[in-house]
Amino acid sequence: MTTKIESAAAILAEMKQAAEVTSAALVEAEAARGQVEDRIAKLEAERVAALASRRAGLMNDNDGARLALLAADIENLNELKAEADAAVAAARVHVQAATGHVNEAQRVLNRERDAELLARLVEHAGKVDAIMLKTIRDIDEVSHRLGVSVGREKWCPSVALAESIWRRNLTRENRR
Amino acid sequence: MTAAIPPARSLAKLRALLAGLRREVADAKPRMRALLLAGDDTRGARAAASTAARRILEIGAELAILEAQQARARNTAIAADAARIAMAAMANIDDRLAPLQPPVLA
Repeated sequence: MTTKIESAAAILAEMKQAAEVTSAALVEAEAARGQVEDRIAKLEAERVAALASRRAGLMNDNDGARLALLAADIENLNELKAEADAAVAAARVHVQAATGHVNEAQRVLNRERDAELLARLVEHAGKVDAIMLKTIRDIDEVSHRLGVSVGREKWCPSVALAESIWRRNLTRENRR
Repeated sequence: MTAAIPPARSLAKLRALLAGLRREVADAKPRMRALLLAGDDTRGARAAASTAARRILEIGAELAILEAQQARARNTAIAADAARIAMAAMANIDDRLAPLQPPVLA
């Protein structure tokens, strides 16, 4: 386990935790706004019903006071809704920022993982190089003992491998 | 063993309660002044302010404990998650390298 991968993982875990907290805050803010909206809808329905009754000729002495009270309550609730809307918008901004931080932390971790993978692959290629060379030399040696002439020994690298190694050899200077 | 994280909702409730009590104590002074100037009995207002002040101390202590528990549990959870993520990254590297191992000469 490399220190860089460990620290990138720790940052990612922390960012994920922070994102969970912001998501929970957004859910809570939306629930609070929903509560206000439900209450407004209920009062609006009451107001519409009272007006419909009056239109139908069902007059009541208390209608005026009731409608005024409903209008006042709805107005107050609309103020609360504006506050709730602002809270939801703010929570959404936090969630977006937190999601961005998680993505960035994930990118950093992926980069560290790839850097480690590359280091190990290069180390591995060095070992395979030595094994391959020794194997070819052994094939040549045994072939000569068996009387096989030079250039006719068994085994050739695949064209893809030969070309790949050849290309790397031509660009050797670039890798210094 | 991982400590359970106190629910954020209960912490929020306690914080809201604490804020309300602080407001109550802050409002008590002008209210008592008004009662004194009007020549009314201030005993009820005094008792209410004193009760609110005591509750602030109690709830403040409860909140501090819950917040400490939450912080500890959160740190434990983050550490466990970080270890899991790092192990997954290393396993991914091992998976990529596994098929590249040279075969053993028979």
